[in-house]
Amino acid sequence: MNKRENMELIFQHKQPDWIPHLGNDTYGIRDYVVERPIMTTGDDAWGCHWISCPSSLNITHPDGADIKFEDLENWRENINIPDLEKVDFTPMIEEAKAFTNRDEKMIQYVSLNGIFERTHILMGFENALCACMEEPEEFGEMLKAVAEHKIRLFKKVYDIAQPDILVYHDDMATQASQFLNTNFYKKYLFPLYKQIVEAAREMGYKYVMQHSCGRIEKIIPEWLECGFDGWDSVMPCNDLYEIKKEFGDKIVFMPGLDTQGVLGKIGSSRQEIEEMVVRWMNMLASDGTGLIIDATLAYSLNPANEVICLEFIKKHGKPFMDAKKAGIEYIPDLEV
Amino acid sequence: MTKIEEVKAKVEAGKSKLVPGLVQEALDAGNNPQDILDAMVDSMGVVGEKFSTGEIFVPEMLIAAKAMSKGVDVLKPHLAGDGSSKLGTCVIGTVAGDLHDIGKNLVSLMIESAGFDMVDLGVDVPAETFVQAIKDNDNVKIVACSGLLTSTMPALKEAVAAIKASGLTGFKVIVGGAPVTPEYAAEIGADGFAPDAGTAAVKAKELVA
Repeated sequence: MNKRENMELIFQHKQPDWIPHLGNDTYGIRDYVVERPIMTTGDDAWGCHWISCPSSLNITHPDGADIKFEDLENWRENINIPDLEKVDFTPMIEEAKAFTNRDEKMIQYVSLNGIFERTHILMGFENALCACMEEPEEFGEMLKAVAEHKIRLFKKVYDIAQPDILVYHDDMATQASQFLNTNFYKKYLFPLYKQIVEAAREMGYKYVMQHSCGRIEKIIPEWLECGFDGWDSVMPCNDLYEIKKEFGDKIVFMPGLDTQGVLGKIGSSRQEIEEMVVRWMNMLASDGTGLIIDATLAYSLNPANEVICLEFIKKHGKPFMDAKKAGIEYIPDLEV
Repeated sequence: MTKIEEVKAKVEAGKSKLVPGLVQEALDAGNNPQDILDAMVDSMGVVGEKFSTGEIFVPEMLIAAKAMSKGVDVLKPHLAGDGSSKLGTCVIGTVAGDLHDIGKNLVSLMIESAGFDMVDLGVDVPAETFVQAIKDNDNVKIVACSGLLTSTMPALKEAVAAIKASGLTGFKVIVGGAPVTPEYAAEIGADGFAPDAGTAAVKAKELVA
């Protein structure tokens, strides 16, 4: 079985041959052309400025001093939705040329800064959230305009790279609770998510996942109705055992694992990291289905721990599944 | 409902367009400016508590803080002295290597709404910058250090250690952020810990009482 076939089984909610790691098992393309410069200070195609932080592995963050508008009075005049015909997609086109073995491996496209997050970058987080409360209808209009752009962008990327998987990033929650009350999501965000998912499928993306950090457990039923195949990030501030029990046949989980625990901590032992990975495998693939691991540097900022984690997944992903198929508990020999 | 009660209710409801007018009406009706301010601080206490218990979400808290800020703008010329806070100054920042500002900003808003003057150092703040800010600003009573990443917890420890080792006194240090626990806060020598923005404001007031 090749990596593509193995991944296909996961999206069909069948038992794969091994637990895959997104980075190892797929080709990846990221949106640094339109939505966000990566590892370097600069502007995105919206004209928003990003700052790379050397003390944080050069990860970029929006320049808080570069807010395009503070309220919605003149957002239509002040928003600069990128004209994709004028954007130079050459780097992405070149990157896609390296995807030479498409029969063996799926391609995943990570689309950064979803429609809600883009409003934060344009207006500043606090202003955007105030606008949600004070002028929800107008805010909804802005979200629609951003969603139309996203759909155009997904089409452009599909034409370039024909990805199988779209990972749509749009954080919906803090670790304590969702950003907004459920009614707001239902009225303004989820209909647009549904539209985005449907449009992506029509273009040819086979699977659409959403990345959202934070505690989203209370809105999962409504969120699933948008048509997403999976959830990326899957933070432990949610009741993950319960979510797996209730929605495990509908959601492919793509966790960053315990990034705020042993994976992120400096000085974690190999054994601690390995035990954590096994715990997550047993939690989210309790029946052997529905788990892709997406532990990346961007989540944990700890390269040494990530290496251990990836080595472990590579070595134990198959024996774990062999044990699941045999109906026995997988107890790996952990390196001390 | 008295004018002050009306101000209080509208701040809690986040009616930033109505609050300035109501504050002016409360002043015109002869109310003591300090009483009006105290009422707004009280209503933010209620908002903070509702946030901490999950009854409301971030935006409700933000619009309440915004409404209070608009009210304070009207009130400031009428307050005794130079208009600076009676509770003192709070220096706040996210520690070195950590770029997360949302939680820190919410804490800043709530501590300000509780009656402190804020000095926000931003994100990725080296330990020595916290120390310098304490030296550079008058009447610093609280230093609030935030960190969201597990990998930047050592920077949180370093910031608290540098502040404590500076020899400067007269203030308390509080810490918070997703991976921070009360035990960790105590271990690194912080004077206080808060799990969320509402609680941070309560803790800050407690520490200067």
